[in-house]
Amino acid sequence: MSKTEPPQQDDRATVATVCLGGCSGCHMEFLNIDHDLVDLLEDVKIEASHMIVDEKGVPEADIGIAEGVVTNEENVEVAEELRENCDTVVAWGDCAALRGIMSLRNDDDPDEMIDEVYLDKADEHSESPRDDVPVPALLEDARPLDEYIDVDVYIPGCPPDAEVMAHGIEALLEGERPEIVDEKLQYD
Amino acid sequence: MSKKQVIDPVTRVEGHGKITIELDDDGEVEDTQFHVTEFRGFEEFVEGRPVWEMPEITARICGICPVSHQLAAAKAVDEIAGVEIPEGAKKLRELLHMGQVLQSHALSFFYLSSPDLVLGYDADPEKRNIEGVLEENPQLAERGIDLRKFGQDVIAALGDKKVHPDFAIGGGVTNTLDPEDGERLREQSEELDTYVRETIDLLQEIFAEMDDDTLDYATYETGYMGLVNDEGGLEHYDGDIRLVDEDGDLLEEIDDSAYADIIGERSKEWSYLKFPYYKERGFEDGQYRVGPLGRLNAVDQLSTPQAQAEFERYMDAADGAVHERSTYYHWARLIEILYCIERIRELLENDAVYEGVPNVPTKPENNNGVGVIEAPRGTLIHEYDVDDDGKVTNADFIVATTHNNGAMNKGVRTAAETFVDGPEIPEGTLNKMESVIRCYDPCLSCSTHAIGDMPLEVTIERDGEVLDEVSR
Repeated sequence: MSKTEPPQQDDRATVATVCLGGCSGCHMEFLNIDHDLVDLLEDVKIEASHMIVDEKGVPEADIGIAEGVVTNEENVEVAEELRENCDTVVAWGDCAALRGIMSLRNDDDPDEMIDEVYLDKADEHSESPRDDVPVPALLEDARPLDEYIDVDVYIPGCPPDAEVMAHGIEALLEGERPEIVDEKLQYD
Repeated sequence: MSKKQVIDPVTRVEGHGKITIELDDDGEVEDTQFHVTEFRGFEEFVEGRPVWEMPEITARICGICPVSHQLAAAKAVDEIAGVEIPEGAKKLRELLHMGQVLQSHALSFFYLSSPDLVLGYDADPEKRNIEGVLEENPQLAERGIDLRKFGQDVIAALGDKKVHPDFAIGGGVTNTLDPEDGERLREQSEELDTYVRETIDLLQEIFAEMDDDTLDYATYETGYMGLVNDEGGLEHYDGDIRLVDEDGDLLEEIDDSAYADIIGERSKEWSYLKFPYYKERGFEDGQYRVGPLGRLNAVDQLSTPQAQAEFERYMDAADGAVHERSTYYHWARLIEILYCIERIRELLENDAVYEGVPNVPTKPENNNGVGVIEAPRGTLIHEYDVDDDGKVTNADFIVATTHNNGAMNKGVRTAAETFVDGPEIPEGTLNKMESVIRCYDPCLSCSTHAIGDMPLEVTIERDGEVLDEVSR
């Protein structure tokens, strides 16, 4: 690993990542690039990424990356902001790209599901959170990202391997479309 | 008349949450709420599926600690199958779990919390992250990367993948450890003890320089829960549930399958995260904490020598029999990292982890199974009812972060009362409110099994009117 000057923030490409209805596993796998993170930060400024930086919104960025399926109203808003603010949008992992495991809920009625979990599986003084303002309402179904916004690049996998993610970002930084084929392509 | 301020979303945590602070006419804190804003529905959509699938499906509840869910589900399936798994399989499961507790704790301390501790709560939010720590104290950040990597390498050596490995199944495990991998991991672990001991020393220096308000801003009395082994020692894979009171005196020590006898749950309309409580004391008084602080307050000892020495230093610093400062979660977490490294080495030296594929065939013998494990953030409970064909008819999970919900809300309230004075709240103060939550290392993806991503928001409101929303 090369020891270099402090990064020139203005020159770096910018990346924003968001987690919709996901398990953070894609974000975790991304951190599995381990010490390569140090090198990556020389070329890339991470503008937003809930697990590692404090930015609260979806800022403007060259590359916008979404983990997770679209499952509630807030996810839709975040996905739309990502599309509006980022030049290239990546659907990252099986949930964003293909809808993933959470779509197992699509046969169930969302209101019934919430009432069963919060009223039937809690004590008799419990309240159902489905009508309250601070918590976003569930959509009827959990659906993949491209049913709400245009997606430029798909990287499936549960999660995609860290090296594949790093490869995808590097290709995009060079203005190329990443080729996710052969052993890089993974559905699980 | 009151005002509200919202921190939305809470960042450098795992999952989605926000904080509302309600002020009265005089600008004093009237109420606070920590809302978890996502719901995923695993408890519901697994119904009707074969219980054998649960270890693999429920691992997807959380990408931070998929192994804990996989193991809790696998233990429940063992019970449903009525089997005692081979000793080698138990050791391999524990080894997998130690890798995961280590990597998750390293993520929490070095990536998520060290920016507050090293750079300060008032540091520029742009810098207050792992990149800022790499600039300020590169050795610390890189050691954090090494520790997390080591934990993930242990997981990958067994389950092939680092996130969502397929390893534990009902009746045992799918693989054994290659002796060459065992030797490689043992060598990798050599420097790590020193890293951790030096980081514990650094944390003492940081605590010593903190003003009292900052060190004490989330200090309060609760009960504490953790699994214990036959000697009352720290246990993460399999043991009895122990609950102690605010003085460290024993309230309960029960078989894990009896958890529902002592724990009740309540839900509130303003959060997707439920509130568990100790039934005997009721909803308001029955709060307890889990995770590193809860465990070290509940246990009598740690079985590995270096971790035990650090545990003794830690307990010597307690005024009473327990630590009540939420900030000491960080200290307890580092001691557990040391324990994991030592325990991994012990397990790597045990021949049982290299023996043949240790699983036993399973078919449903019982209609109910409970699996309990100490996940990184605390006690994790999976319970399944199945029909005679082994299809799930009911599933109940109490996830570690859920146990801490009452305490996190109390922590936010305490911090707000300490630091908030009127509707103008400086950025650093808002960050302190978030960092209370960060002490607990909550995993909100997990906790509502439920939807994950946890940036935190704060709203300030008066009489329902939103005066300020903080979404940095």
